[in-house]
Amino acid sequence: MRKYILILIILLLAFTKLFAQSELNGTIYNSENNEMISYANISINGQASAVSNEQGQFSIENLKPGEYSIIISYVGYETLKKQINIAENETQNLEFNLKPVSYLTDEVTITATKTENYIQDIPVRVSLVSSRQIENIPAQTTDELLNFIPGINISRSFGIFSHQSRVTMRGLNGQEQGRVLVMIDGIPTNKADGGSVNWNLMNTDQIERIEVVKGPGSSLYGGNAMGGAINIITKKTTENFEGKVSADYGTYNTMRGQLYLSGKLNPEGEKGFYWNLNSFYRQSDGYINASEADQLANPYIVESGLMEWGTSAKLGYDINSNNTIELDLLYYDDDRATGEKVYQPEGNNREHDTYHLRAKYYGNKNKAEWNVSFFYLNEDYKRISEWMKDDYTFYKVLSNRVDFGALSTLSYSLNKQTITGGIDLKQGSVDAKDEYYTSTDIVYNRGKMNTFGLFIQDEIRLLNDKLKIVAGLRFDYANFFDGGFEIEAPTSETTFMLNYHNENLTEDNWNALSPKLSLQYEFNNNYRIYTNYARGFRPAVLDDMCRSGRIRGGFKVSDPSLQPEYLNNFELGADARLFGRLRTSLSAYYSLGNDFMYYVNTGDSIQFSYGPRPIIKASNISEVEIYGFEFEVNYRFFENIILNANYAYAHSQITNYEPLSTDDPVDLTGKYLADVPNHMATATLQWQNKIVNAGITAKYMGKRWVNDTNQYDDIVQDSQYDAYTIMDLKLSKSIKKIFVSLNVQNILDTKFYNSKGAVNPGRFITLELGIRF
Amino acid sequence: MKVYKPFIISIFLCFTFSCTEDELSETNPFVILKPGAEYTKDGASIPVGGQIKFGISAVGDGAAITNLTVQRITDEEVITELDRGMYIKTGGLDTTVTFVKGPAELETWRFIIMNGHRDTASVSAVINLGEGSAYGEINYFSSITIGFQNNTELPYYIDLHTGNTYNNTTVEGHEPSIDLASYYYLSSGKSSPTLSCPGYETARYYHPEMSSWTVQNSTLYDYETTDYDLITIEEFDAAQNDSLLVNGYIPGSVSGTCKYCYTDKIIPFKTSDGKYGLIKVLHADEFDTGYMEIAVKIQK
Repeated sequence: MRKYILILIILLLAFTKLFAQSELNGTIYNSENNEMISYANISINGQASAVSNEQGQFSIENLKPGEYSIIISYVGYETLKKQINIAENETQNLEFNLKPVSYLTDEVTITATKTENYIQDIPVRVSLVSSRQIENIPAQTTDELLNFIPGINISRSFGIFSHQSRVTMRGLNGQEQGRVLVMIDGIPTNKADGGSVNWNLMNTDQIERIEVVKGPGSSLYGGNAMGGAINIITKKTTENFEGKVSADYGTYNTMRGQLYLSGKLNPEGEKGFYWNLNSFYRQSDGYINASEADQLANPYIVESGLMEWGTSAKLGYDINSNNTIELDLLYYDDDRATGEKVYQPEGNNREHDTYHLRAKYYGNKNKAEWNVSFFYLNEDYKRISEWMKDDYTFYKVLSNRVDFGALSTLSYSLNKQTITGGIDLKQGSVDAKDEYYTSTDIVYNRGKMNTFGLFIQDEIRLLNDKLKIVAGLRFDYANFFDGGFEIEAPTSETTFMLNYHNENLTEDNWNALSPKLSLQYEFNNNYRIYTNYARGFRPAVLDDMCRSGRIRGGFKVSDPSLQPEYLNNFELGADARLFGRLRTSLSAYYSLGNDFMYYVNTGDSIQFSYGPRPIIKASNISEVEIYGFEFEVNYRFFENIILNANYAYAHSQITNYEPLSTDDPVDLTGKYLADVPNHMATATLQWQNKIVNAGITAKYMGKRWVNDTNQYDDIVQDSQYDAYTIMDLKLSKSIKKIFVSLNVQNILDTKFYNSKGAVNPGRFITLELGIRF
Repeated sequence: MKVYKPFIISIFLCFTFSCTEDELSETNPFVILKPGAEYTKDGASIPVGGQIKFGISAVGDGAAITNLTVQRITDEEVITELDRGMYIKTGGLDTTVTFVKGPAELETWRFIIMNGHRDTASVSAVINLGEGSAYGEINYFSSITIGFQNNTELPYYIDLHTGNTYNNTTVEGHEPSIDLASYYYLSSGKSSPTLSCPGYETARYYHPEMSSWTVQNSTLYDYETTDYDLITIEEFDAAQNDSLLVNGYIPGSVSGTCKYCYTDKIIPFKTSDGKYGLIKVLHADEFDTGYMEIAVKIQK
């Protein structure tokens, strides 16, 4: 019922139309050379209103008398905002000068140092997905917006039908989200239970930009930021009222409605409340992802459809120009079928019921800036599993995962340096059970992890700001407690686990020290080089510490004494702007990992219903060597055509593997990390013009090893996945308040398969129609 | 702005109060042993090796019946003879099960059903040990050869009751009597000549023709006895009646597929019509165009 209410609301708003009257004429220039800029976007009070013609001119008629906020934007230029007053029957003729973005980008980032800095001023590699790119990139989900950043590896086998996605980078295993920290407005979202992130939570409409810091960020953020940190920044309105409502329809009978409303009660004043509300609903019939052979063998294969909806609300108050408090609430609910249905009404499926609360107070006075945040993330995960083999089996996995904490940062700027420090307190917990309905078994697991972090960082600027040094150090202490693994009323489904029944798993603790030192020399506005060393770590996940159970390849036993794994990273990078229109960047890195966690054969075996399987457990046993480089080029052919291309190479190899048992038949020494492509390349072309704006992208994914043993996989029928190329296209057009866009993902209908032989959705087309107000 | 306030409020209200959660109310499923001359009566005396036959009737009280468990309880142990998942939404459960009397003086047979709310009900019957022995005759097929999935010359399917073999052409009309099919694959990198049956999903992956059969028999193989060589070749060769066939089968470790059936393995099985048997692997290739040669002993 609720979905129909939401659709009705969206439709009602879609037909809401605001009328206006009067006239504004304008001409848009490049502020550096006075050339006229064609096809720039002009919006008034947040609604797209015009596009400049080939002479850089535009005209907006029928404006009502009053005050207007004009926003002019164009790829490669800083967005210009201007307030104007128009009297009754007045015709205003104005000139607007857009400033080209200098160097790689003049964008400000906060993620790399927890202080505001221009990207080119930070001696690490930071990539940015801007609001303009978010509009132009053909993406259905938040993680897909990152697809075209060099070195980013996204694992989303089934497009929007994937119940989870993993985003990793720089040669780290593509199946492990816990090695990259993901934040929303600086608040961590990796769950302590498995290190995973629900990338489906957020609607792309609520995202202002995404900052990606590559290489270890543990000196500021602690655990998970071992390979890098991704910070999703949500929108904060400065307008009195603006909004957007849209609906799209596409392949597999996929339909979505989106609503975004925002406002500020006193947009011109220092004080005042601001708010926004974002809701979306999506459903799809889905498709059959099983191979043809599986479909022949299994009569219970069906389409893997989905239903999801989410809403988020932000309420903030600017106490004055220096202090702000903000509260964010997010709720998300989904139901994704996995493509097999025997008796249950929705078949095998997964559901996430998520609440995310974030409260923040930030401000500044004189040379000090501070930020205090509280967060609470509750996820109720439910998985229904049913199948018919020898007989019918039906059970539910019910897992409650809670992560909450408080984060604080204080920065103080002296003459040529900025000192930043802070304290973080976090707790993560899991309370889960596997409840069988075709036998009496119930299997429980639970555990908690407290983490305390303390960090300090110094940013020093020398030699007329040409030389910048950033040094940082963080100490983390964690303890695992309240762990248990229990089996109730076991039958043949679970009796083999009885040896691991333990109501009170041993408490354990660990600590980690994460240093960082980076230097940068900026020759002038067009050239810079930097180098850095940083150490990052990933904590063990609760799932490995307190849950035993079947996993692919054997039976996993829990180990509460698991310690963190570490990565020491050395990096060298350079950026250059050549011939005015060409911008390039190159980064090379060398990483040594130690205590890497792998599932290791204990030498014992356990009897499953389908034969003996090895007993394995996650252990800190491996040393890993990763090195690679990333090269990016951005070329502006004309004012309205921009090409971005990049290539990333990664070599990831296990250099030392110490088995737990002499009976372990596996030796991973010399093997390559699974799911890491050696070669990745992407190209993006953005073309803005009077008729239709176009964004076309292509991504090449090189071959990847299927498993860590680099062995032949009988399902994939190879030891490596095939390389493939995906091309996407987005065409969009705005006519006054109305906008329409055509999204085509995987134009070439490229097929690729995962380790279970399941295939991707293929070509996926959606047509969106909406209105801005 | 005022225009949108009702929408915002209504969105919050419907999002906040429209959440639902599965709630299971308590139910009272019910199970009885069916009366009738064909069934073994409560309190009956049966000699060791004699057949015990029960008729079971059960209802789920508004919820689907999801499990039937049968336990043989003696002074010394509780053996789960049957633990079967199912989903019977309407009409209730009506089934017949057969077992073989063991050597214990007194056996209590307990029948437990569970429904989709995880509520249970049970009924019991006591069977005494009768005089003498009732172990029965067996059929012996000393050599049967079948091919793996990519073998283009040999037949793929066996009727274990007769020892007859069939290929995809000759099996037409005989599908309801097929108990065994084999295939070869690498299981997590380990070579596995495998025995299976038409009722097992994975077998249909390797022999897709079986997918269209209207009757897909499920033979259960005892993988624990197989893996740990609990029956020797000498014991197999010496078996003259069905004693070893019945007692060598461990009902708690059975599956419709049996991996790692290498040469000289002994594999206990039970067909879908309740016949116990033993397979001796005389030869097993370890490639998918190869074949298996087996000897079979099965209850008459």
